Amino acid sequence: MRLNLSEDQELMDATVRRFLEKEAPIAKIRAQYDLAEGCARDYWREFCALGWPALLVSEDLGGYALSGATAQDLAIVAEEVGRLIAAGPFTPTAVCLDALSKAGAAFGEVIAKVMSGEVIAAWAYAEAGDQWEPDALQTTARKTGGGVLLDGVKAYVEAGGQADYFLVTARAEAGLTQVLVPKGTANVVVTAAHGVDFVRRFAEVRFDGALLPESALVGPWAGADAQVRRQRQLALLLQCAESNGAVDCAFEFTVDYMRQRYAFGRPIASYQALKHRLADMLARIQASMATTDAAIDAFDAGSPEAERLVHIAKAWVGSKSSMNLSDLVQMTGGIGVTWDHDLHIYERRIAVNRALFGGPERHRQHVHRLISA
Amino acid sequence: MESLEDFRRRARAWIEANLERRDPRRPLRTREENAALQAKLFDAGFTGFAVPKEYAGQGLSLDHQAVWVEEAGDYVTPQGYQVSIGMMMPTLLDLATEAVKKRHIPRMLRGEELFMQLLSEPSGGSDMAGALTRATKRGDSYFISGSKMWSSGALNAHYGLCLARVNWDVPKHAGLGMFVLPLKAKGVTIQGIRPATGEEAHFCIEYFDDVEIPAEYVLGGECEGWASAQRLLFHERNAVAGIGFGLGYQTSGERQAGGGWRADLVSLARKHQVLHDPALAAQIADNHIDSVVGGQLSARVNTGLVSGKLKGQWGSLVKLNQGLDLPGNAELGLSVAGADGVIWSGNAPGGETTNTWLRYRGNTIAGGSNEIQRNIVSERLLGLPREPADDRDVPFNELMKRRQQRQS
Repeated sequence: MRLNLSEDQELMDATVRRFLEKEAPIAKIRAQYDLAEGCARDYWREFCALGWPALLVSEDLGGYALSGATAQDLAIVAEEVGRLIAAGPFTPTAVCLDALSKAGAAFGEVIAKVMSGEVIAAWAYAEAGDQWEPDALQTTARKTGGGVLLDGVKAYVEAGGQADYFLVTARAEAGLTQVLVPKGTANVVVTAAHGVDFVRRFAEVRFDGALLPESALVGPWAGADAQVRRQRQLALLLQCAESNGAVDCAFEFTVDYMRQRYAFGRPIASYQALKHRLADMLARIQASMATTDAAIDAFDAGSPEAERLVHIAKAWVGSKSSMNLSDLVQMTGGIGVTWDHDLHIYERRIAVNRALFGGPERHRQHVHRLISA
Repeated sequence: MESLEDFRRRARAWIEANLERRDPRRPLRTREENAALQAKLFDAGFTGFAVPKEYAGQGLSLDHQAVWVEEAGDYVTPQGYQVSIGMMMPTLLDLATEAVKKRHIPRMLRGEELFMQLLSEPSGGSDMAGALTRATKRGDSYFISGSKMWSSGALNAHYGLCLARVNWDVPKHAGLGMFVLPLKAKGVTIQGIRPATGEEAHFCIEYFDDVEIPAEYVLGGECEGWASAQRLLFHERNAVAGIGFGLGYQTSGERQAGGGWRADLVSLARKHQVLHDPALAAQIADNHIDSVVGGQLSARVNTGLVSGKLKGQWGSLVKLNQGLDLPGNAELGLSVAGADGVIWSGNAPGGETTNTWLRYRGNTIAGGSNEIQRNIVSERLLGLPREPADDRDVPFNELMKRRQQRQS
């Protein structure tokens, strides 16, 4: 969490935390493991009713601004979601609302429904084979007499099985194009995927000549490249903030346990062999928050540095979060590798976040490209 | 108090009219040039931003100092005052008698007097409270005998803040005093310690033979030296981390690299034409990431200390992070330079990466080693229990006896 929140931001943070602690404590998350949908629609509507989706929407479409720095405000929610490994399509909702709001009033009705949590929108972006780069996308969009024709397969689509709408990022000859596809459109096949997260569900979405009217275009035809890069940055930033919340929370409960647990006559937290590692970990956690916030600030300011700073944040947070969680398991001891202990629920979310939108190694490559340019 | 916006405008105008732009090709300035520049800033009212006016400061705040550092970032500012003004001056502000503050802080701010610290001893570095240097009171003065080691810059400094044992019959932390010791006085012998790089001595060893210090030059109470030393170390860690009173006093190289002593491996890799070497590319990128994130952590902690969200010794976390980051940087420097970093032809200077490697452990040891920082972070920031220690409640004399018995 950043260290100079405004009063409004503090209030929003407290509200979100109170809601999640009451409605989505970790015991409830456990109980949702076998739930195909991952989370109940009622819960999602109530979570959206806290108002955070409106931060992504321009005022003329029913949105509002808290600090005016959208990603900064949303990251507060993301970190709380991470702390409790909360369920629900948080990032897809944010990304889709950002795209729809920028596309304008034509999507007013859908925007209102996504904001209220009445419908769920998923971002159909990445493709099989761990493909997260805009340049690697192979799904195509073609204009025909009757509208826009989509062909291709989207993978790792978060909330794809529950989605009422898909924001599809596809390649037109001259550039990227985004199309809003309602569930049930002919020649669209959604297949649920398996995943390691307790409550996050993913799907594969196949488009075999799905035909959409031109009014389904989100933003300009073949002119969505910049917006797609923005969406990816936003998703990465929220993901980093979420991972930071998850690691911070796991760190807190593990350190508490280490104060209670006695070995050789004293709390294990008093042994330098362990507490020195906790000190290193605190440095990594605080640094993770620092780099995430710095990237968020650059993103919100529209700075040209945002690209490099987002890649740096993901490269750092992606690798350090899994390193931290794994070391927390080691310090917890045997109980930390059991099903009944909560740590693996955190490890699973961290593993998913590490991989989604490209692993740290991919982002490190981007950093290398940018510093050697 | 002057608003930050007004101050920024005033500072910017003065800087543009009076300071030179930084030029990395220009050789480092001499001590005399730095002193002249420091005096110029002092005379114009751009030093001691958060120091009260009665000590010749500006009576403003650390936020004003941060604004100054932002505005002066691209300009040449004095080097060599990190210890004296960044660490010792705030310690004096916290602890010195009124007369000492009025006499010395103006001279420190103008760069006329340099202060440094005399804490570690030949017999103990990390275990600072085990000091054997002796302070004996005779009349209105204390007389110091013993020796100190690892003190930076003692050869050029005028005063050292010296931890010495006043009372030997109480536990070790309870018998120490902190004294402002005049380094040019009778009874002081200073020798440089040549570092492994073979460079000019930076650290020193000092011998004190009955050096007289008037009683008004005790910092804190006569036996409150341990608390005074903690205060000093707090300011030291902050200065090293580039926060608090020390903000802006790091060398320009440290600032550029995000607050450490790291080599810029991207430039180095370009020079050695290995920036795209598949065996090194990922590590070079990671190193750049570590450097950027280190600076971001320092900024975050600074923000937290200013907003009040963080309280206490968070400078230690930044110093620890630097200490975790430096080994990888130095070692990768060896890889990037390869054979040309250890063997070179011609008479031009070389071996910089090896020198960095030989030198950097100094930074993971000095100012509290990584291990000491880990104790501070885990015990003071996380509140974890201490390891049991068998020296805490025993009179120091008794400890000395036990040690002799064990060794005999």
